[in-house]
Amino acid sequence: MNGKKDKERNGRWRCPTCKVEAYVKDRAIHVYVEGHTSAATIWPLHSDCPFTQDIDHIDFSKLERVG
Amino acid sequence: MSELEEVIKELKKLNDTNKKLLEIQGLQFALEPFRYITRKLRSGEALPNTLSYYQIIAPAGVFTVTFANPAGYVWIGIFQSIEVSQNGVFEFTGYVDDEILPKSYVPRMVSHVINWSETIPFGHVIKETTTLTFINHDIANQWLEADSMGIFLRKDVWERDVRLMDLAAERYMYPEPPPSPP
Repeated sequence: MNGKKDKERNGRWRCPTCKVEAYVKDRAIHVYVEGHTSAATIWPLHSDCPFTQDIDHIDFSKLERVG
Repeated sequence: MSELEEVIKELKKLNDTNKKLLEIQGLQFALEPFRYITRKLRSGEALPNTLSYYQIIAPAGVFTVTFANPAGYVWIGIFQSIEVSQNGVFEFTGYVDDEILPKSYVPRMVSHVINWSETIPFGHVIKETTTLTFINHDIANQWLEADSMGIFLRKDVWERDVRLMDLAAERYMYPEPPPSPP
């Protein structure tokens, strides 16, 4: 695994479309979905949400860094 | 006591018993999980919620998702199924609300179906959040697919109704002893 690349992406990220946030730490990702009442689905909120990819294929350039 | 008075007394007792039976039947009708849920959906106190998702998890990857209820609502589970690409490679941990111990921990998860309403009626109620963690212990990408059905019910309504359910249970769970033989 590319350790340097893993470290660079560590931190909190947000999807610009659905505003869902996730915390990334090495090979772990924690997605936080808050308060949606849609009858159909609450995750993912849109089919092309980058967070639905596995950690090796998330396109971080499409996400906003929050912290 | 005359014979007629004795008959009247017995009839009164019978009438009381019938009233109690009617009350119990009414409670069973009102609190049976599917009827209760249907009624709450019709009255607008509850919202239906169907969740279905597909997730790919990288080798040695950890995927955690936290779902927070809309403010002022509890989530009551009705049905859940999980299908995995390979049995026995996912470690699963599920936390509900602020419980210290996980609600469920499965070291080697397999595909499964749980009917919450039939197995444990009202047994899966989430007051605020649920956090699910999946760890892929395999050397290849693996996927999981999860579905669930439930309702979001207004928290004040649930707290009131669950208190009524407990009161009814306390009242009827200890039947009167049978009459002593003459």
